[in-house]
Amino acid sequence: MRGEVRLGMRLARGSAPGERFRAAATVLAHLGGVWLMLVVLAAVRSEIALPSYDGDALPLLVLTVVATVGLPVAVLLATVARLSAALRDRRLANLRVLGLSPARTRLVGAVEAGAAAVVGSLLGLVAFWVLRPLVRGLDVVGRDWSSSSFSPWPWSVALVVLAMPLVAVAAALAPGIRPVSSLRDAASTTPAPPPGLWRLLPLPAGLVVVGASTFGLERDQEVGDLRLGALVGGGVVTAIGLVAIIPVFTRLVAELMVRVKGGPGLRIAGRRLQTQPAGVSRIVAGLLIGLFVVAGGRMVLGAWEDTPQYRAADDAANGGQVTLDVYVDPSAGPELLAARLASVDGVRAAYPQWQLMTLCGEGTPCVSAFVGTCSDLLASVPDATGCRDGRSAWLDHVGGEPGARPGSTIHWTTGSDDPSQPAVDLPAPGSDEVITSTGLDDYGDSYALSNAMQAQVFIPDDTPGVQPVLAAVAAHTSVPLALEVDTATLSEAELVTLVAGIDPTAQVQNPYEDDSYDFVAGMRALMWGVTALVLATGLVGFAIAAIDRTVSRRGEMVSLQLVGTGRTVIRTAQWWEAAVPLTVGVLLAVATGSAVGLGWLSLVGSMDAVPWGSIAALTGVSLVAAVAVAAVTVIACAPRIRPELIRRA
Amino acid sequence: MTVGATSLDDAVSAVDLHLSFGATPALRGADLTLAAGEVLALMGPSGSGKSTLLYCLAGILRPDRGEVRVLGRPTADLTERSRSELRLRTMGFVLQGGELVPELTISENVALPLQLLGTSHRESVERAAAMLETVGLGGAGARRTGAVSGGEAQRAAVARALVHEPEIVLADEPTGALDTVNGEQVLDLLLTTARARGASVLLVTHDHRVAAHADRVAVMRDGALVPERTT
Repeated sequence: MRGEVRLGMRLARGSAPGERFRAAATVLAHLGGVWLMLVVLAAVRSEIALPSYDGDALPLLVLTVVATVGLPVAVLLATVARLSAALRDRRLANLRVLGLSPARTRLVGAVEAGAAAVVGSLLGLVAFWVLRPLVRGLDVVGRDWSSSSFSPWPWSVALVVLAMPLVAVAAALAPGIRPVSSLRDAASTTPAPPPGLWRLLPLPAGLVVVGASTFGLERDQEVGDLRLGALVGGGVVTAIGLVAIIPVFTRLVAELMVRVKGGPGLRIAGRRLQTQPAGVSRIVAGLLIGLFVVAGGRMVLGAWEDTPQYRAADDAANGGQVTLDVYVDPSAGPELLAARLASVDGVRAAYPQWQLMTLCGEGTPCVSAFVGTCSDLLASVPDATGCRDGRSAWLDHVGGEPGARPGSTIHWTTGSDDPSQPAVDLPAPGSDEVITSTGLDDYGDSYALSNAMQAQVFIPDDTPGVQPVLAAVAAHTSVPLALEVDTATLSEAELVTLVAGIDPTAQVQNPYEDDSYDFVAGMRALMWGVTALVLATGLVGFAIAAIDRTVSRRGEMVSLQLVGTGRTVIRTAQWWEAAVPLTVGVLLAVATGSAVGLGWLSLVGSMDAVPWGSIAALTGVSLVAAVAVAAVTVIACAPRIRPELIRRA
Repeated sequence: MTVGATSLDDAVSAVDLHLSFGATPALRGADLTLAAGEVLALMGPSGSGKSTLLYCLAGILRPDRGEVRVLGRPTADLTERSRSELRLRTMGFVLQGGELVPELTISENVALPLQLLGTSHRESVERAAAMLETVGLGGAGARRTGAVSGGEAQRAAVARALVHEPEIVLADEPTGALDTVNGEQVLDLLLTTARARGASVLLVTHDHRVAAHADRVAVMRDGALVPERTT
C-alpha cells in the first residue's frame, strides 16, 4: 500500500511543465472552490441572521443557494480532475497491464487525484480565514456583512473541506480502469451513437406537470400542498430534462450547421458536434442547472416584489419618493399644518385624511369612509377612476372581492360608541357607484393610513351632515396627515425635525419601514450574486475543459493544417463547437427556469409581476459570457506546425 | 490446432482459446505453448488475434472458453486480483510505444515494478540503476520520458520489463515504433538480457526480421494458429 501511495503522490506532483500545470490547476481549483463555498455559506448565514427571515424556510434557502453554487463548483473540480483524461486513463491502464490489481490501481489514481485536491482545499480554508476581514468589508450588490461575524457554520466548513477532494477523486476514477480496452479506446475515434430519444421526454413532461399544477386555479384560491408538490416535482423533472435534452438540441443544430452554406469552419464544427453531441453536456450541466434555478428564483422574487409595501418602500429607497403618515393633534389644526408643510421645498403633497366609521357588531360590518374631494382622493390614489365630486361611491380594487356592505343606509360615526358623539345616517352608494383602483389589492397590504383605498366608501366632504361629525373627529382623535416627500430634496430625518418645529406633538411614521423590503432586496442581491458565481465557475470550468480538449487533439489540428486548412478556419470551427452547445444550453436553462417560475407566479396570482427585464438581463449577460468564453477556448486550438506535432498527426 | 504440446514445465500454455468481442470472434481455438527459457515469435497479419492472445496469456483478458496456464498454474479460476498479482510477479511487458509513465523519470519508471512489489525504495533505486546500466542508459535515469528518444524510451521499457526478474516477458510489437537500427538494438538487448536471466519471451510481431531472432515462430490467422516452423 505504501508503494501505491508513494506512486500516487509522485504522479500528483508531475514533472513536465504540463503535468505541473495540471497539479497547479487542481490545487487552484480546490482553493477557489473551497473559498467560494465558504464565502457563500458565510454570506447565507449572515443573510438569514436578519430578523425578517422565516425560520421554517431557512433550510430550504440554504440548500438552494449552496446547491446552486455548489453544482457548478463541483463540475469545475470534476473538470479539472479530468484534465488530460485520455493520457491518465491510458497510464492507469498501463499500470494494470504491469500487474496492478483494480483496487491497487484505483488507490494510485485516488491518491494522485486526491493529493492536490486536499492541498488545495486546505489552502482554500486558510485563504477564507485570511481574506475574511477583506470580504466582510465588501459591499457586494448592496449587501454589507460587516455587522455580522461572517463565518459559515462549523459543520459546513468540515463538509466542504472533506467533500471537495472526494469530488475530484470520484471524477478521476469514475470512468473505471480497464487495462486493454482503455489502451484501445485511447486511439479510437469511434463516433458516439446519436442521443437516445428518451432524452426528449423529461423536459416536456416536467413542464406539463408544472402547467398542470396551476390548472383550474381560481384567483385568490389557497394553494394546496398537492399543487405546490406538483410544481416542485415538475421543476425537478424539468431540470433533469434540461441537461438530458442538450445533446439532442446540439445534434439538431449540428445537422443544420453542416447543411447551411457557412464555410468550412462551420462545417467542421458541425461534424464534430454530430460525432460527440454529448461531449460537453456533463461539463455544462452545473452551469445550466445553476441558471435554471436562478431564472426560476428571479420569478419567485417577482411575486415578492408585487406587494404595495415593497413598491412603496422601493420607491422610497430608489425612486426618491416616500409617503409618510403624520399623526396630528386635532387641536393643532391639521389643515393648517398641511398647508404649512405643503409649502416646504421637497414636500409634493400634504393633506389630512378625514375618516368616518361604522360601529361594528350586531350585523353591522366594519366600514370606513374617506372624506374629501376627488382631488384629495386622486392625490392619495393616482390611478383611481370613477370619482365624481358630490357623489359618494364604493372604493373597489380591480379584481378584488368587495367586502361585506351595509344595507341601504349607513350609520357613520367618529368611531366612538359614545352616544353623545355626533353621527350621521347616509344612503349607501348604489351598486354602480364605484371608484376603482388597480394599484392595490383588497387585503390591506398597504399599511399607510394615508392610503385612501384603505377605506371602503368615498364621501364628498360637502355632504350634508358630515362636517359636524368631522369636527367631533378633530376634537377627539389624532388626524392622519398624508405627506408625499421628495427624498432627493428632503430626507425623512429633516422632515421629522421640520414637523417637530411646527408641531411638537405631531408624530411622523413611515408605514413602509418593513423588514420584508430588506428581505426581498437581500434575496435579489443574493440572486445576482449567485448568478455571477454560477456563470463564473460554470464558464471557467467549460473553458478549461474545452482548452484541454483542443490541446489533446493537436495532432488532428496539425493534420488539418497539413492538408491546407487555414488556422482561421480551425479557430472558427473551435468557436462554433464551443459556442453552440453553450448558447443552446444557456437559452434553454433560462427559458425553462422562467417557465417553472411562471408556474409559481401563476399559483400565487402574481402573473402581472413577471420580471421580464431581469430575465432579459440574465439572458443577455449569460449569452455574452458564453460567447466570450467560447472565444477563449480558441486559444491553443491551432498550433504552429512543428515536427513532433506532425508525428502525432 | 495445437502448436507444441503443453507441459507443466511450460512458462505459459494456452489450449483451445475462444474469445469474441461482441459478435466479432477474435480467437477461435488458439493453442500455444511457451517453454521455459524459450523465445517464441508470434506472427500474423493485422487482426489475426496476436495481441488478443497475448493479453489472454497475461490474464488481462479472460477467454470465453479454453484454458491458460502460467508456470503450470491454471488461471481460469483466479480472481482479477490474483491474476494481477501473478502478472506483476512473473511477467514483464514491453509494448509498442514503450508506454512509460510520463510523469515519472526514466529511473522511476524502471523501478516501478519493484516498488509495486513492495521492494524497499533504496533497493528499488539501486536495482533500477543497475538495470539501466545494463541497457545502456546509465546516465539517463534522471531524465523525463519526454526528453529521451524513441529508442531510449524503448530500452527503458525493456529495463522495466526485466528489472524484477520475471520468468516471462511478453512483448507486443516491441520495435514497431522504431527505425531499423534502433529496432535491432532494442531487440538484441531484450533477448540477450532475457536469455541471460533465463526468462521466456513471447514476441508478438509482424516483422520477419524480428521473428528471425526467435527460437521458434508461431503464425496466427483468423484467431487460430497455423503449423509452426523452426528458424
